[in-house]
Amino acid sequence: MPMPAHDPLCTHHDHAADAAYRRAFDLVTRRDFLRLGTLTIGGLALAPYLRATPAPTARAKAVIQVFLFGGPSHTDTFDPKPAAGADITGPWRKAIGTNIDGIQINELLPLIAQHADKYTILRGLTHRTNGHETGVYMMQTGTDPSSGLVYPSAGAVIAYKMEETGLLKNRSLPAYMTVPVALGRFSEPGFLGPRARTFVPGNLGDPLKDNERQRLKNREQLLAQLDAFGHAENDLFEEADHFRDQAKEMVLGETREAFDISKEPDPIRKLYGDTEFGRSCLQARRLVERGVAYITVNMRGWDTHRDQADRYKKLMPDLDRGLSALLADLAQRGLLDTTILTCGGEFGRTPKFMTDPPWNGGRNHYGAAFSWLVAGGGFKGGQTLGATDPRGERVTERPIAPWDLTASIYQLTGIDPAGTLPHPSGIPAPVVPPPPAAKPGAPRPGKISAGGTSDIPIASAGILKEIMPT
Amino acid sequence: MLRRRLCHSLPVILCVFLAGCAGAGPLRVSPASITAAPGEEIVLKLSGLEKNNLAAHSSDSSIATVAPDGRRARLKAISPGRALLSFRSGDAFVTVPVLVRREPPPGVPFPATDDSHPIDAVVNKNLRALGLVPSALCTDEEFLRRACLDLMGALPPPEKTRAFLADPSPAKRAALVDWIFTRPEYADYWAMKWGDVLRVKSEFPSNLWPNAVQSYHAWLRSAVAANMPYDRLTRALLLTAGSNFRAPPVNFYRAMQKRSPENIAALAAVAFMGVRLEFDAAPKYPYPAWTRDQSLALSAFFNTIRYKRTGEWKEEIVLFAPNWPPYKDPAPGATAGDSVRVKRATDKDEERKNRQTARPPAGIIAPVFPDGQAVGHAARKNPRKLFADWLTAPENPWYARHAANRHWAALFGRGITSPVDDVRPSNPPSNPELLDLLAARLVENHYDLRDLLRFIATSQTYQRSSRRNETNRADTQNWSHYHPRRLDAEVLADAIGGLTGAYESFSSRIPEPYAFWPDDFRAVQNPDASVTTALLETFGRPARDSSFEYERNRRPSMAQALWLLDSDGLNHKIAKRNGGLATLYKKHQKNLPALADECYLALLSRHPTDTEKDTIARYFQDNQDKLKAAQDLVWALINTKEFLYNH
Repeated sequence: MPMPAHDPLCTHHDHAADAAYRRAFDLVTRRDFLRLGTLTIGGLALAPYLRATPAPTARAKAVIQVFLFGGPSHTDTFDPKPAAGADITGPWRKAIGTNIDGIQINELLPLIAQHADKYTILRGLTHRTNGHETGVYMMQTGTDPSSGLVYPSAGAVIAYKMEETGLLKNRSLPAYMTVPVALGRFSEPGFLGPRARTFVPGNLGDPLKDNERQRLKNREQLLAQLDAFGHAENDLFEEADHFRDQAKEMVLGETREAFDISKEPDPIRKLYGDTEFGRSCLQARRLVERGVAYITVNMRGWDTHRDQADRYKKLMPDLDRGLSALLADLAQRGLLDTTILTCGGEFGRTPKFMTDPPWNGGRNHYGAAFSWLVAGGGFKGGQTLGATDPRGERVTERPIAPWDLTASIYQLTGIDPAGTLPHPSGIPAPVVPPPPAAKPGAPRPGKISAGGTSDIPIASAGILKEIMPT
Repeated sequence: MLRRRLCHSLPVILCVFLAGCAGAGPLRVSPASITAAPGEEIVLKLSGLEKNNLAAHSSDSSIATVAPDGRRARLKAISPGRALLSFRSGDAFVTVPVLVRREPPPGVPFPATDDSHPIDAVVNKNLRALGLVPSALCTDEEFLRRACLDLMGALPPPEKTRAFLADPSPAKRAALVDWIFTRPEYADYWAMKWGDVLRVKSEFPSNLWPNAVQSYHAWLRSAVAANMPYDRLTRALLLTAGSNFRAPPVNFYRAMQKRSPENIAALAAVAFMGVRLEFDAAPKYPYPAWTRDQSLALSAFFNTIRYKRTGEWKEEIVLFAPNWPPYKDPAPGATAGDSVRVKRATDKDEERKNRQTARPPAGIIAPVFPDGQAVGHAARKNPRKLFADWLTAPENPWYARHAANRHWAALFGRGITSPVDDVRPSNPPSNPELLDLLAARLVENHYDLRDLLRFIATSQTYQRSSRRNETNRADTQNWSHYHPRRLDAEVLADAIGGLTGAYESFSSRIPEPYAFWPDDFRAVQNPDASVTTALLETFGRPARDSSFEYERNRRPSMAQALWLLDSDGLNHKIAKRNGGLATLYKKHQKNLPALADECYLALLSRHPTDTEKDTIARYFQDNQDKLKAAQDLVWALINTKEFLYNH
């Protein structure tokens, strides 16, 4: 794989860091691969050879990803530009200080501002994709869409790897869940297949009533008498019957309480807010306590092309209360040390506030620059990483590619980014595929249309070692 | 004549490839072929190893396994069937065929079989050789349900079930197959299968977008409904140019994330030949069908495809450059040094002329067909047409075999070559004679796919029971019995919808305003893999990311078990207000056995047995609320293996 000579987009490019990153990910040379390929067929034995460094030790035991589906405006949340004038700020002209000197966020998020010591704001994210489906794919999988394989989301990878390595704490609950509803427009399992699909608890949060329990038992008895074919050929159905026993335990057994937030004391429920988002955050914390590896909290409604002011009246207070509660509650319970909390969307939104019809005060998709927030599980707090220009349009410092974020999370959860995942073709796929190389002298991408993607690879500055333990 | 040409061409090609794979030295193995009994272990000796590196691979580990052990390899025979062992050391490569056969106990003659159908003659011959006794024929009830599920992806309507079971005609099974071909569900189902291969999907990674998905799907469906010959269908996909809305087959060239000649060639190879192309310098697949150079030489045929946007949202014109520009290696320097071997043309002068005019400058890849036939690059012909002519020629060793194999796999759940999309010398068909027979039938009947399906479905082999005997219990590759498999996700959703009246509800968020499909729209009819539901995803509907058959996943999971056991999804369908069950109940509430009979016909395509009638009568007696009891009955029937599996 050719090394990128320079990134035409960014001025502060760290060549040494890039080289190290690529060494770590450029699994082995082709010649080695060919040789190893002859040693192992089926490929499962490949992993040890591919490991360039010893497997990282697990610092984090769980991940909560708060996904702001639709793409939140970076300038209206974590990367405010109060001095850029009204055509950028729109109605939200003020930035407010946080509990860390020198870090400001948008005035819309006063509660989150009180916890800046716990998180780092990543302001250098970029993937230059303006389509929801490709943007979600890149942020969820941490891979480039041109890799030729359709990757599983990071949640599916972490759940799979923790199960494989025995790091999973609780085997009676699915290791990867999404609350309150699945993302849509994106398929989590990728090539890992339906078993790696995220689990959506749905109505399991409501306790089973006595009459419902009795009816289910009656149904089971009736089924046992009518399933003659299943009994006669039972050796064919061993696997299906095993999962059925597991499902019975989940529905009728005590496992179900994991989803039931009515078991939480009132002050805690008030802290999170009685909103769909608040309840989902609280459910995520309960699941972390019970050893679930990866929970995505899917907060919808951020695709604010029009009438953004109106939609923010609901979105922003909900986000502010729920996310700040999660930060405070995890910290107070001592869970933040071992739980990674991330928050962001598939891209940012155009920094220019569009007041003309048909937008009437909205912002479009913007993948050139956006922000995420990371906390806990080994990520340092009280910092910002990367920066954009005074109008929030371009990354000027420390560009961060989607795979920088996911590879860092893998490292902290004890997953070797140079390890492999099983692919149904029988050929293992790397956990983190080598990112596409930037071509020397490649032209700067022009304007990317609303649903478009730039073909020019991103040269990033590698995993987030600035905010990771050494 | 055609059949002979077909039969003879593949071994020749195989030799070319195997020779192409063997590079460095004479890797030898003894014995050179093996016959073993189940359970037997055999040690193979190898010579000519490079640095004692040895990789060993069995094409079917349910038949025989192999493990390298220094300069030897240990084979363990598992169950009756055929497998091919492949050994590789450095660049050298050698194969050993294995036949595992079961000796029938002395004095027990192999039962007589009816070999009047050509398929049965070939299959039974193989079963005799392996010592596998075929299962008995299935009942009418089983055949009805199986044929409807396999051929049209839908359960028979209750009135058809009644009529079929009451029909005394001995030819009723063949008549049923012809009836199925006239059904709209038949066209829906096969259009869905084509959609899986051709990646019909609005969003990532196909990015066809909704309008093109609709037009592409409608075209595929009409091609199935009109029984368009398979070669014409193929040529339309490869040769059409124009707008993706108005000339639907052009979407063939759009259904991929990165539209490069290599990706187009890879789609053409997997869709029409079942071959996985290899473009990495280090082969991802242990024993690829074709080398990187061969794959690139095939890609050169797709170097004229261009795309042009229009003012319409997501409209695109697919066009072909008038000249054939030189095709360059996308990653030069990656090739390890093996070059494409050009087969000797019959007309040597012609070939010399081609070579003189065609010799490409350095870095330029000359177009060569995978069987080694070169074409003059300077010949200013339409390269896609050259490819389509070569592909659909009767003597093409891959094309007809692959189509035959796909259709066989659709009816049996497993291809003669398995997986169907991994055709390579080291993964041979489990019954080559059968594959040749089907391919020849297809060619002789001008690529009539309906004729092929009828040919298969009327054989006794297709009509075997799923009940196994002690000899064929473990058999999965020789068709000694019908192997039960879980209903496809879409078929399952529709089968539940058929009784309950509650089909899946589909909507799409693109483009605005959102699209909503009618309540009785069935999952099999859904053209777009981006328009999906939790039920379909849970039960392994293919995402249509890759064209490969492994995307359709029938393995059970905890989420599936939970959905069946206690979910709003299923419970709301069964208890739907004014739904199918509520309507049946209103009609039959005074005659509960008739209600139970209707439920059995709708879900299991049979009447209940006397024991089942008793059980159900007792359940109705024990429960005050008869409607709820009827719901419980439907829940129980949906949860039986008999319903969930095609058997």
